[in-house]
Amino acid sequence: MVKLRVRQQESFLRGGIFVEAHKAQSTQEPCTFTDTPKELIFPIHFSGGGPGKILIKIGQAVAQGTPIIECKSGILHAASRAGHITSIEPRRVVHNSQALSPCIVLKTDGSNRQENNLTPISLPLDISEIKERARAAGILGLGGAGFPSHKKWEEKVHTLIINGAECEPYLTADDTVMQIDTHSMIQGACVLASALNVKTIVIGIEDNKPAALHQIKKTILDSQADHSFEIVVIETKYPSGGERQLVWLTLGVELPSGLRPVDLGILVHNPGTLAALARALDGKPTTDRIITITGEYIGRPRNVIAPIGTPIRHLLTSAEAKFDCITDITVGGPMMGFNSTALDAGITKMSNCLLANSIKKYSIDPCIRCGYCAVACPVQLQPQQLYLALSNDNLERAQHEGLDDCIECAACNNVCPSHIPLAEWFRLGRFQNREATRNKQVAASARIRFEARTMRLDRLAQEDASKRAARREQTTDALVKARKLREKNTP
Amino acid sequence: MTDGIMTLGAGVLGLGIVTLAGGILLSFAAKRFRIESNPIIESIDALLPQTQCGQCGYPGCQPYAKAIISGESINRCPPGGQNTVDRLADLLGLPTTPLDADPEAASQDKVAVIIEEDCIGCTKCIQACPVDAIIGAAKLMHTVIFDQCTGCDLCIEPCPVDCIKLIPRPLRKDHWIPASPPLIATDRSSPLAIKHG
Repeated sequence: MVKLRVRQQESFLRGGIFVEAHKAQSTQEPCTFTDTPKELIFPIHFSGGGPGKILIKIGQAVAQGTPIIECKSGILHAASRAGHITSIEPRRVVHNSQALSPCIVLKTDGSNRQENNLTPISLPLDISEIKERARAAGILGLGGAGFPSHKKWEEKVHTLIINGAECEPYLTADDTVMQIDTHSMIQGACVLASALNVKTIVIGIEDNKPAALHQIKKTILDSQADHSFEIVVIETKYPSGGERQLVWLTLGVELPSGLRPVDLGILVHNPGTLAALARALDGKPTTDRIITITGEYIGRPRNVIAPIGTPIRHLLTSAEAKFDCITDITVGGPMMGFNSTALDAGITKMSNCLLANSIKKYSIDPCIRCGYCAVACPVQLQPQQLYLALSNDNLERAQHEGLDDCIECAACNNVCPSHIPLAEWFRLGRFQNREATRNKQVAASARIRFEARTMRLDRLAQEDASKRAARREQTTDALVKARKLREKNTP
Repeated sequence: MTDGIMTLGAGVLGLGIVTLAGGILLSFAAKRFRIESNPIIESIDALLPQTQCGQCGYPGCQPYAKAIISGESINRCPPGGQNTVDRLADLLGLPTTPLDADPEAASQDKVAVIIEEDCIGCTKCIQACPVDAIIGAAKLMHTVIFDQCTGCDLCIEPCPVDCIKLIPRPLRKDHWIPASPPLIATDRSSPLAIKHG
């Protein structure tokens, strides 16, 4: 018997900001499949899960679901439509760096040939079986970070949280998943919960999504699952959808600095990831994702189900974008997304929103130490102090101020009256910090090897010396004996 | 009266025995658990980059750390760069001096690579490598373990066929450096900023 409890949040977000949501723009039209583009582009090293290896050859015909890239973490990325590979060439990628990086270019042929290398697997499932399937079906965190999901499925997990907060303004992709793909999402969550022995599935959802909430309630009550569900309705405040923030809001657990939720046995997943998992178990690799196309320059803002690798320009065209106004678009939300001018790049599994707004350029003024950022910071840091340390190249000081705990949510950017790009500073600082830590590890290992070598050389030299001494002694002995013998023989 | 003296005597005697026992224990511990290394050398060594390259004129980072204690100048470590000089100056309370090398060349992160077709398997580079980052056997091809190589260039010189070269360290394929945000001049070198923690 399914148990369902709906409650309001009991703990409240410290810090955070109220931002204009703009979510209604993209929910006026129903979510539909986009028409298949002529060309799909898959970046080899930026598809999520680390740098990849190519699994196909130029000219090869592929079906929908044929693995084409194996990334460093072992996840296989599949071709999202049937066609053939025309080239492997450097193209701009949808990534913060906007780098030119080798991409697989696939020319679609409009047929719906499917690769059937994954067979549907039936219940009950073992967790190792699910992990293997998630790897083969290319399941990544679809929320935006693209963390390989199966790496989080550890034995000690006791609570599964579905992150339906979607606190970023403009984004409605998760909202759409929760409305039209509810069944798959709940199914994926139940399978994962059974395999990991999770008793309670918690769904955190912001109170600005009544339609999704209603749909989830209905689906849970209709399902035959024997898990207990708990829906926590939380206040609409940015960034309640951050992993750490959501754990606090739903469970009242504050994560210690440096630990991830999974270290405490809490698993947080995006609705889309769980829906993709349910489909993967049915034998369908992740080839599509729901993406929000919105902003003031979009004629028909809405959500679409787009094949991975669809060029951004194609999606914008289908949404009737006003191209003459668009110089660059924001990929991801306005808070944590990045601006990109690479309109011909293909979307990846991590792209959840294309936002075409006029980008306001502010002049940056000096920090006046007003402290607004400290109030807005959801992790109780002092962004103005961090900024001071980082702008003076003082990483140690920044670390002391808690740079490692920054979640780069950019709430501080939003309230800064001087328009200082604080989050950019922190991103750079965190990067430099990681580099410094890596260099320290390399130095430590070099030192160990150097010391071991010195010790080995010393030991060898010593052994050599003692051997020589022994030989010399032997020779001396022999000489003495010979002399004695001679003395004896000569009367 | 005598009671008082007795108590006092017992106290003095008791404490005397305890202190004596403690003294014996401590003198024993001082001999038994004596640590030979100098903690200052350790902390200097921790600041050095551990490339073991010998560019300072000493056969490794620890020997250089020892030499600094006995008066060697602190600006002789090119791989560490100016940053290391500053930190050493900070640690030892010395005035900071400019690096005794071309800072441009020093800052590059390099690794050695063996042109494997040309390698004759003489093992000379293996013997020269201070961190055992080259593997191979006599008359068989050698190769460099990139992750262990410190780019010290000590293997270049002994190679009889010149088949080792230094290249910039290969980066991860998805490596990227976040862009530096624009800086406002007034926010740098503010009197409130504290140098090094």
